[in-house]
Amino acid sequence: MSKITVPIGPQHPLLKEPLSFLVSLEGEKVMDSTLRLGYVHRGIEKLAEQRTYIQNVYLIERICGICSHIHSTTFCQSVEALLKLKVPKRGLYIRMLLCELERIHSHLLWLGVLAKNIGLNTLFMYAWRDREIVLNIMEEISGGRVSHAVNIIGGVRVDLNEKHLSLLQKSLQLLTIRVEEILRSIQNDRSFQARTRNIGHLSLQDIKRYCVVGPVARASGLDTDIRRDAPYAAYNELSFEVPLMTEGDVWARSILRILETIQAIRLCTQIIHNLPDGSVSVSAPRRVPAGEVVSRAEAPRGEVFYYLRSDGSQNPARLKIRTPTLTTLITLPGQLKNMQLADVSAIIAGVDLCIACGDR
Amino acid sequence: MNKTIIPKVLKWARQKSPWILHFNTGGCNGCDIEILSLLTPRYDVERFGILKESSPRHADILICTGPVTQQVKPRLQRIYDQMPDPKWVLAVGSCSCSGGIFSGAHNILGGIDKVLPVDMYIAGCPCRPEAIIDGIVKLLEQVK
Amino acid sequence: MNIEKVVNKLQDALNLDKSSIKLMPMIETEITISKQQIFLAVRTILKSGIWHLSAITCQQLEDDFNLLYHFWISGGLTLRIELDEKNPQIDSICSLIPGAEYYEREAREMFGVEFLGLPNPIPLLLPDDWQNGYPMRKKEQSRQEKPKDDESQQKGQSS
Repeated sequence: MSKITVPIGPQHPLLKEPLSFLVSLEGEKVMDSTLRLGYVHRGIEKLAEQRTYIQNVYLIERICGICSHIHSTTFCQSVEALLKLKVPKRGLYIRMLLCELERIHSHLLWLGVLAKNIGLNTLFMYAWRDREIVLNIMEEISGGRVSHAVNIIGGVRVDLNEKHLSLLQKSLQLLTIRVEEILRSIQNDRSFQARTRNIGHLSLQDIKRYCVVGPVARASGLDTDIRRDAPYAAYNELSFEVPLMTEGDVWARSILRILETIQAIRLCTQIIHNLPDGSVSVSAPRRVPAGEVVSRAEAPRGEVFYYLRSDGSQNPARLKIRTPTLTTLITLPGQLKNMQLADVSAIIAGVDLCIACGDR
Repeated sequence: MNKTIIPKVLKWARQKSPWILHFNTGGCNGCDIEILSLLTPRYDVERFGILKESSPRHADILICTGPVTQQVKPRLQRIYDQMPDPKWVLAVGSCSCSGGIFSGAHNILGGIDKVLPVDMYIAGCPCRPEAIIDGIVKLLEQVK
Repeated sequence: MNIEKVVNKLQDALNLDKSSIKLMPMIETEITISKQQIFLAVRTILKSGIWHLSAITCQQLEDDFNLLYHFWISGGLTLRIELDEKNPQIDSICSLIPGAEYYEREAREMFGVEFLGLPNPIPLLLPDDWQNGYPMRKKEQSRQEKPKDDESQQKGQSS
């Protein structure tokens, strides 16, 4: 049988962002594939060196629209470590609340994209309808649906009042009912399983060799979560479970992400019931003393890593960002090997790509 | 009689069923998820006749987001050339209007209008779905 | 396996001085080693049960390049290596940790550091026809004009 090469992307209905895959087929079976990144490379690390720390908070938020809050949280956290600032507890709780709301919105977004890719359009509509509940909350709190601009160096710039708390309570109850209903409908559904079981398999050995992070790693049996292993913000005061599965295929990743969504809703409920009193921020000087810091956080897709070096001026001397999507992209050619062409869409969706994060 | 009726029917058809193609030329994804939200039950643009198409050959309107990166530029040009006439281009988001927060970066050109003729600019960072719908409706009113 | 035990193993294997070990904010231990010791250091770290490499950071200081290898096991461990500015070269660790490939390719195209033995030395993020040198190096740090279509990029004013 002769070999054909099928290009997927940069413009393709499966992909929301430009990315180039060249898939070599023999008949319907994928023999090999290559990946080309760089279509969304904007040079954020270079731009960050030319702006002040305060301007950088707004730039860093726009690395990715889906996980914007966690990027600005990690950045503000690193600058606060260099400044030796102690953010008030109420500010940390509000930061965590938005981190978890963002996790819920990101996983529901991913669920809709996966459903669309495997042909279940109704599930896409239901998931994105439920996602609007979360976006409503975020808009009430911060004024923006997708980009919140809540973090400042030294804390947060918004506070929660009684109206916000009662809206949160009602919305989280409704969201719990809806997400648990989604889990019940797809967990044992035969058509969902037929499209997602036993494809795109990654073993625990592969996960360790490629240093994969996030739900993709947890679905293959690697028990890792920065919120539990090295708590940042005030995660050490909250109790939550980290779901773990061992099958390592697209089905395991899907179920795991829905379980994580349910845990995130429980975390939000804990946060609003235990919100401490006090101020939400402290003032921060403009010049950061010279030093280096490494900061990590758990984004919806895994561990996000920041290295910041300051030379005592108003601009950072070096900012290095490593996002979780880079670790999962490197495994894609291995996942696609020996799969059928029709399964490529499910595998690409199962990995939850965010190329804007990967390319920076 | 054909000379008056056929153009009227064509104009009515183009205004009542604009099919869109969405392309991200290097943006942060914020405006893209707001464009996808248009298809979901809350905003539901199918009531305007809008469908999201997969192939450039089926689309009337090209909705672009993102400051154009150097690598994406030839693909953007190719997609525009593959669309049949009459076609329109919408630049959604501050990045695609002028480069936005990324202007000055080493790898970007700074706006869709450096590559293609743009018919409607919709600013915002990210752009709200209501603003995108408003922009599409205003564009359709100008269709001849 | 905690960080202190790994640091002690590294000290024994590489004959390190106490002064090459420092602490950084947010639970990070930093060890300075020479570039010839990188393979042995990574092999010792892998044998102690740490497999997770978070990132490889490259930066240009006053008169040399610095490579930082960031490892993680419930606490951070960073290896710092200084490279000569005229000829920045080091062995690639992709044969020990395949996941390092993307980080090494990025450091190579952004700073020009040569990784000997890198399996796929092609650009990762920059376009195929990029002609404007190494973007993250200090002398290119000035604000540049937006790249024109077919003309080569001009250098902007110095910062």
